Amino acid sequence: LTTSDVSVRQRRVWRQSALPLVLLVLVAVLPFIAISKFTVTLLTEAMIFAIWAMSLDILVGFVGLISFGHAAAFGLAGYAAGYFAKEITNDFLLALAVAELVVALIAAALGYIVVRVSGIAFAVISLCIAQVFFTIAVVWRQITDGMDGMVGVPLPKLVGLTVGPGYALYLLTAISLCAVYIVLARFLDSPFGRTLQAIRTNEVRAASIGINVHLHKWIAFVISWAVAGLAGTLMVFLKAGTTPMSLHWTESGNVLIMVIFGGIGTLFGPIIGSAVFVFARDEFTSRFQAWQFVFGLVFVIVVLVFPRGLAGAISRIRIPTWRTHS
Amino acid sequence: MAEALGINTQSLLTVVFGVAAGLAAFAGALGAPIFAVHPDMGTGILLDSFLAVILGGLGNLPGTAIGALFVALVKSIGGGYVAEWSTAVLFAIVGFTLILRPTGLFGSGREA
Repeated sequence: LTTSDVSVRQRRVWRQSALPLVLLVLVAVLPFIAISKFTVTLLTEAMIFAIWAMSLDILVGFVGLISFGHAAAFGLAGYAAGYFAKEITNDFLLALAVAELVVALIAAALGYIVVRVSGIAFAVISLCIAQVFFTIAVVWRQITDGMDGMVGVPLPKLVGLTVGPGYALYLLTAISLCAVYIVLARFLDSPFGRTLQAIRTNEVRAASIGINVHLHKWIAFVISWAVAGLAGTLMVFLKAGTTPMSLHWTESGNVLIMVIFGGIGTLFGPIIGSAVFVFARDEFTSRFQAWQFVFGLVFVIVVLVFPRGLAGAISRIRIPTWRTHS
Repeated sequence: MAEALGINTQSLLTVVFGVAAGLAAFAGALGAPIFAVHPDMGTGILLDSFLAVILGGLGNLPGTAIGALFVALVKSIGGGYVAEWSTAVLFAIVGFTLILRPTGLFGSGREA
């Protein structure tokens, strides 16, 4: 590395973390200035979905594996964290650690096998996995309470303090989102992340220059599930419970919509996509009886007009200097 | 490629889409007296038919028919023996099959 390389790299690191940090401060002070309590809850939900959508985008946008069962990681972590918080202790970090351990172990076991296939076969296998977990959640009543769902998950405690509903949980989610964004941006910009993108572009060529394609895909799969696990953990504390519907394939479809809506292959896209999704859904459900019809129509139009999603539409109107790749 | 040979792909794709939708409508009309008719009746069958197509192998009509038969049999026989687990059993079988044969049971080389 030459000195100029280092300074270019430092500038990029700075740029990648500066914007999210500024946005974090903005989001943190927002409830004191403008928005209502209800909007705070909606924003919390949107930010949790954003973490989840980013984790899916690692697979879809950066590895080229279209997962149609990403609810599996989300719902699984929700059940693991919720059960742990209910039965043992409501310490947030401990519950998160347990959920991540469960999700990572299962992802490592499943991922080792499933990343061998790609395309529609991968989409269907991931769907099958999620549906098997869904059925387990419905049938295994001793742990999950079946279709009634797990209720009465206590509020989490962080370093001895209870993270209250509303602003405290909102801030915790905002900090998590910001941290996940910066870490993932650094991760995808690293040699490992670049290798993933090489695999997405041309798997055969990547393999022929000596890249261990299977190992890279496997690690990316586990990381993707682990990030989704963080989202699932936050969600179970926000909702104070979870139901088998968090594992259902319609949820996998929703998160895929958020990613496509926002822009595949960017980290910023899924954040925009999930924010638009949550607020549009709230708006449409209160205005129209057949809200899915309006929602679907808007989705189809956006995808037809902006094939690269909302982030693609925004990057087109950016000033040119922003798009240079150093 | 097909366009270069003078085929009107636009209208061809439209007709194919129309015929496919027509076939689905025919199946829906046949199924109406057996299943309950409700606005959400397409959701369940959507997943089942998707599994049948993938299991049989993309672009293989006899394979799809056999796949559909298999899906239906697993659901009904499984429903009799393991009740609520029958869908999980079906998904597990399809998942394992695809890991062993990513092109489906009767797929012709083309990765599904």
